[in-house]
Amino acid sequence: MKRSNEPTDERLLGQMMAGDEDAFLQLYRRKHPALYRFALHMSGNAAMAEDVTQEVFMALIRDTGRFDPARGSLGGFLFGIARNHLRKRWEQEQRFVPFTDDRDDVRPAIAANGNGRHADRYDDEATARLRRAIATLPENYREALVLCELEEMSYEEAAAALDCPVGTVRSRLHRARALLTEKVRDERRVDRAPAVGE
Amino acid sequence: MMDCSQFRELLADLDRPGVLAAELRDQALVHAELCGDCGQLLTESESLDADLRRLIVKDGYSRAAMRVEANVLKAFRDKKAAEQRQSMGWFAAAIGVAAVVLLSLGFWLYRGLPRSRGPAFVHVTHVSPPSPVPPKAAADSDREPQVAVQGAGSSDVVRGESSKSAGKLAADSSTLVASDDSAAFIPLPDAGYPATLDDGAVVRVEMPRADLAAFGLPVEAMEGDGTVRADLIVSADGTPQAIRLVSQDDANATAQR
Repeated sequence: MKRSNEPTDERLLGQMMAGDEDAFLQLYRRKHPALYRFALHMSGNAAMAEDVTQEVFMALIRDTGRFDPARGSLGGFLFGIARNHLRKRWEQEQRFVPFTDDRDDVRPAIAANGNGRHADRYDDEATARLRRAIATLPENYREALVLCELEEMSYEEAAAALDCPVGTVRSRLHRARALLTEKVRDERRVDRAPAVGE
Repeated sequence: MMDCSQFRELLADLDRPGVLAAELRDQALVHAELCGDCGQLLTESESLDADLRRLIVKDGYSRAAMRVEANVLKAFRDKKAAEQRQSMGWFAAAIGVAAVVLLSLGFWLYRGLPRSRGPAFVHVTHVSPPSPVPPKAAADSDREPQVAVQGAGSSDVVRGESSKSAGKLAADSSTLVASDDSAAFIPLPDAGYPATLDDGAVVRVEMPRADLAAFGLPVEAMEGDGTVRADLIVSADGTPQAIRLVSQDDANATAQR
């Protein structure tokens, strides 16, 4: 919850543009957790999420003037940069052929394996199941779900971050929830089914 | 009365604050109570919401490692330093340009002002170095700081400085008078005469009659139309120091030489 006497994002950005290091740090500490979580949910990889978070702020430092308050919030702008960097990383990774025979879909595989801190060994079963289910959602649906449900953005904020109409965000979220419900139901069914030979 | 398709449309927004009107939400809940399938969907949706909330709480404290903050802070400092260097460079360049402009302006004023007060039209016909100073004149200059210069038809006196060099230079000009022509040089108002005559030259020019009259030279008696020939003593820095009239015959002879 933002306190009323805290400076707005736009004000901090203005101070940062004037060279105020404290303002930059404050902005980073305010904005980076959500960006990191978004990248983490989208990639399922803590190292990649950190790289993407870093790239977002590097881009902000390099080209602060690109942000236009008339087009949306600073948060939406930063999520947009994060999304572009994630896509670039996926494109780079898809150039490499994995050694394993499982070549169905690289992205969900990365996300589901969670070779970073994301695959938390202390997750309870329901949470772990949900993570796996989210990781296998198509990218567009996953973005809408992560922003609107996990980052609790409004449809308008998510639409600005995803650079698409509000109606599109809404329909993607509905579809994502429906798919997620099915996946979780299926996983529960598999978990409850007795193992063969028992 | 709401039907199942309408209910499924609204299902995802039932728990989203501010999206659905209260009346519409109530209708959806009533439908879920009456329809078994939609009731099941509502239960699963609420379960999903609970799981998502648990995930939000669990990931709520997720942060990037401190090295990320250190990296971006370093990048910010680097960019700030680069901008400061750039602005300092621009400042230095601006100072340099201003200095060049001021120097040029000063030089132009230094060179331009005396000329602007000189004759409006001068035609140079002949340039000769100043005559060497005869030993006698130099010796004379040692003992008399005030040298009489014969005027053209009148007796004029150049008031030299009391120093020896001034007397010597005044003697130089009198030597020029004696060796070249019978007329005397008249010092110009702004001239540094005689202190700057050492490396100067005698320049023969054609000047408008009116300009010469302004110097007090008796041009009425001279032949010629609009212009009259005259000799100027010009110092090494190009500043005219003294002037005298030249007779037409003498001028023609010099030109032929």
